[in-house]
Order: sequence, then C-alpha cells, then structure tokens
Amino acid sequence: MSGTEPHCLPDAELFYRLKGEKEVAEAAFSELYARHGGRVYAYCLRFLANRDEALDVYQETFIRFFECAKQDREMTNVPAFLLKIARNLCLNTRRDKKRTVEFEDYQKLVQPSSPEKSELLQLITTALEMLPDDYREVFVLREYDGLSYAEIADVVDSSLSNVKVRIFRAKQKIREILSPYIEEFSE
Amino acid sequence: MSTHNDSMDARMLHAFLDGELDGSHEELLFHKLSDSSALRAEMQQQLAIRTSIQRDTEAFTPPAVATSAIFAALGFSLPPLATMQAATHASSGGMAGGFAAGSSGMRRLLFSIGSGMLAIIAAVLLYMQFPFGQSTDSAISERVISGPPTTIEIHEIPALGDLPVAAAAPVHTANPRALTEEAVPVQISFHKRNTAVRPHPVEALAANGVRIDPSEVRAGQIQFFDLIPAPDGITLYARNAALRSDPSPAVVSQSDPWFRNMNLGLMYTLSDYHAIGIEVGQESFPQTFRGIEGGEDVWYEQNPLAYWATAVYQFNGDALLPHVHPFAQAQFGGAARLGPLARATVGLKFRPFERIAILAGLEGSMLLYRFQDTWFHTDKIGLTWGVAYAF
Repeated sequence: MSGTEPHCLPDAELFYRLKGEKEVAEAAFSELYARHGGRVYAYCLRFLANRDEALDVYQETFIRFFECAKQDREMTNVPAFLLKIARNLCLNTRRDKKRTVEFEDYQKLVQPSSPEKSELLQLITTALEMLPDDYREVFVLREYDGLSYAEIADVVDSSLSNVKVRIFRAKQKIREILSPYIEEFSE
Repeated sequence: MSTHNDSMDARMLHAFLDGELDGSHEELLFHKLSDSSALRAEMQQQLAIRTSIQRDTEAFTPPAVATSAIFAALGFSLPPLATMQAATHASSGGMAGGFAAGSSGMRRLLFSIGSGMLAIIAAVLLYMQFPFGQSTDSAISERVISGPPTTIEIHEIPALGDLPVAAAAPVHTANPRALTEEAVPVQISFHKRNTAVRPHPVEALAANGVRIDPSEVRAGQIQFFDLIPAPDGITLYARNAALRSDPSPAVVSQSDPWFRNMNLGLMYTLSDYHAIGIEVGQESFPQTFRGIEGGEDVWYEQNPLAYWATAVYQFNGDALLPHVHPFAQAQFGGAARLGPLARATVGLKFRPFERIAILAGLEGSMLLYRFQDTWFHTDKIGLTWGVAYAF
C-alpha cells in the first residue's frame, strides 16, 4: 500500500491535490468526501431540520468547496472550512425562508420519523428543533461534528467564551425539554 | 449561592465531557461528582444523550442521490460503493431526490425514443428518395449496370431458363460483384411481368457459391434486385435500447452522456442465415450485492456507467413478409471493470431497400459480477431498435 494513496494523506494534502489533473482531483475529492460528508450532512440536516433544504445545502457545500479549492488558498482545517461553507448556506436558506409552522411540519413533530430511530433519539431530534438557531448550531457542531470549542468559535465567527456559554445553555435547554422522559432512559 | 455553585459544577462537567476541562479542575470535578448524586445523574443523562446522537445514522449518512448529484455536477464518477442504507434513503428521499432520479430517467427515455424516431424518419426519407421496391418497368429499366450493353430479352417461359451460359455461368465466380459490374455487363428489360416473390434471391445464392439451376429460373420471376450483387459481407449497424433492469436502479448513474445506450456493431455475413461480428456500447448497470465490511454484513448498491464489448452471432430467417426477416442474435463479452456480459435479441429486420435495414426487437441481457468470492448478476429486458447499413 503506497503512502501516496489518498486515504493515507492528510486533509491539507488532499485539498492541495484538488487543483491537480482530473484523475488526481477526483481521487482526492472522493477521499475528502468520504471523510467529511457525514458530518457536513449531519450539520445541515439537524440545523435546518428539513431534509429537502438540507440536501440542497449539502450538495451546494461540496460544489463550492471544490470551487474554492481551485483558488490559491491555504488550508489548515478542512472540516471546519466545509462547515463554514455549510453554515453560510444554511443561514442564507434560513433567511430566505419565511419561517412558518406549516401543517406538514407540525405532523413531522408529532409523528415518528423512522421506525428504527430510538425513542430517545427521536426526543432529542425534536428537542433540538425547538432550540433557537444560535444554540442549535453550536450544539450540532459540538455533538454531531465533534468540533472543539475553539473550532466552533472559528466556524460561527464568535468568541470562545460566547461559544462555551451557548453550548452549555443549549445542553441545559435540551435536558430541560427532555427531563420528563430522560430519567427512564438514563436508568 | 447553591444554584450558582450547581451551575459552575455543571459547566465543569460539560467541559470535562467535551474534553475542554483543564487538568487543574479535573480533580475538583471528581470530588464534586463523588459528593453530588445530582451531578452524577446529570453526567449519566448527558452521556445518554451523546450515545443516542452517535447512533443517529440518518443524520450521518448522506443520501446517495445527493452524492450522485455532487459527483455528477463536478464531472466525477461515483465512488465505487454506496451503501444500500444510503440508497434506501434516496428512494424515500422526498421530492428533491425523486425528481432528480425521475427527470434523468425521463430524459433517457425521451432520448431513446427520439433516436429511434430519427432512424425511422431517415429510413423513410431514403425510401421515398429511392423507391426501390416499386416493380414498374420504368423503375427497373433505369437501373442500368455500366459496360457494353448486352440485352437479354425475356419473352416467354422458359426463355430465361434457357440462358444457361450468358446469365448463369458468371454466378460461379467467387466474387458476385464481378458478375454484374465487369464480367457480364447486363442490361435487362422485362417484357413480361410476374410479381411472384422468390424465396431465395439470386445474389444470396451466388454469394454462397450455390449454382443456380436454370430449371428453377422462370421468366419474370427474377426481380431487378435479385441481380444486384450481395454486399461484400460487412454490415455496420447502430442501435439503441430501452431496458428495464432487475435490480432496478435506486441510485442515479454517475454520468449521463448523450450517447447513452447507443450500440455500434460490425457484422460479417457468412451465409444467408449466419453472420458473426462484434458490438460495442455503453449503458449503466444497476448493481446490488452483499458483502462484509468491518465485520458487518452490508448491502451495496451502485449504478455505474460501463463500456462493454461482445462477440456477436446472428441468425437470419427467411422472409416472413416482403422485405421483412426475423433474426435472432446472441452476444458474449464483458463490461469493462464489471464482469462478463451476455445478451440475446430476437426481432425483425425491415429492408425497404438493398443496403439499409431497420431493425427492432426484444433484448435481454445478463451482467455477472463478483464481490468477495460471490457472484451476483444484473438482468435487463426491453426493446431495441436501430439501423443497419450493408456495404
């Protein structure tokens, strides 16, 4: 197994290879997509709480990411960069969409979304949707994407202390919402 | 004061669980945890939440339709394995995914129908331009083969049959074209018309080296095109197909070229009935297969666009109707990077004039592919149509 195989290379090297010839760029992109696609999609889906919107943003994120890679740009943290693009697109989507609770949305809240989903996860998803956007996004970045507080501060363009507070409050809020149910799950 | 302390303890706890608590505070937190059952309960609850989130496969699995769209937009081929889980999401994926897959399928269908229509229109236009099949005296007499004219006058039965030397002898030649263009320049005019259709055209017999028995030849039974030499044996054809596959595609193919499902073939005629050749083409093959990855039983689905090549054997039957022949075709070969491929086709050829045939038929195919020492297959069935030109 060669050390130059895409899966052996760090993100920064793969990002650099996106500027190369098509085959090289394709291999590098496939590897980066495999590494980070899941967390980007999780961010889009759980932040927007709308599957179709999340799909649109998710696709656009990777296309813009590839376009950015063609420019001369230093890259130190690919997942954070991807999530920044995704966040900007999510915020645009949020801004463009008139936030109204439609009948279908209401049904989504009261109906189980998928049979294999655990009951606690169902409750967490619902509770997450009830959080304010600024709490929800830091919670998703922390719990779904595994970013450190500093990385989250970079992605959401905020101070570290502000991020710490928002994460803490988001967790507390979710715990409050889930409190009637959570004890039986934690036993 | 107690609430403030509780809040500070909870902050420490959360920071610890997030890996953000510095070492100097860890000992203090552990001490608090040993003293406070409420803090321990909160830790358990936070861990329970985290564990549940890590099991949120729906969120961590990008739908295959999105992956396909991204790679297609960038002009890349799809990564080799997309999980069935993703494909399942794609199939239940709401309007966006459904429309993406639907519009692609519709485009392919329209292209297939359109290309078939164009082929038919082209053939009809050619037919109108050169009304070969009209058996009028004037139409026939216009087709004069170059060379010093030697007129054969056919007046009554068995006039032509009594021309064993002048007309039949050159048929023995190995090159039938020489018969009419050089060896025996002939201008034929018929004074007596007979519309009976011969079951085996003369030129086909000649191409096989079959000697024509003069006693079988009857005045007026030879149509003009009977004396046109057979092609040198090479036929080029292009055809398209609309095939339904099993398994049906749940993921969109990685690319959608305008020449999707176009096949090109080159045949060499061995005899009236038999021909062999090669055919190349490309089409997408939806594949599903099981395997083991990371110790888990997984189900894969992909829909790669593959280029294939096969050897072809074709059997051509006697005319069922004027200019309409049945044919059956078997092909064996392989699809690049996928596996062996077999195809079978039965259909009809309509030959409105000598060199051009329109073909339509029913086609079935089977692609075999191997994964982790197990064979899987994709079957397809559908319609095919195209145009053939004989040189």
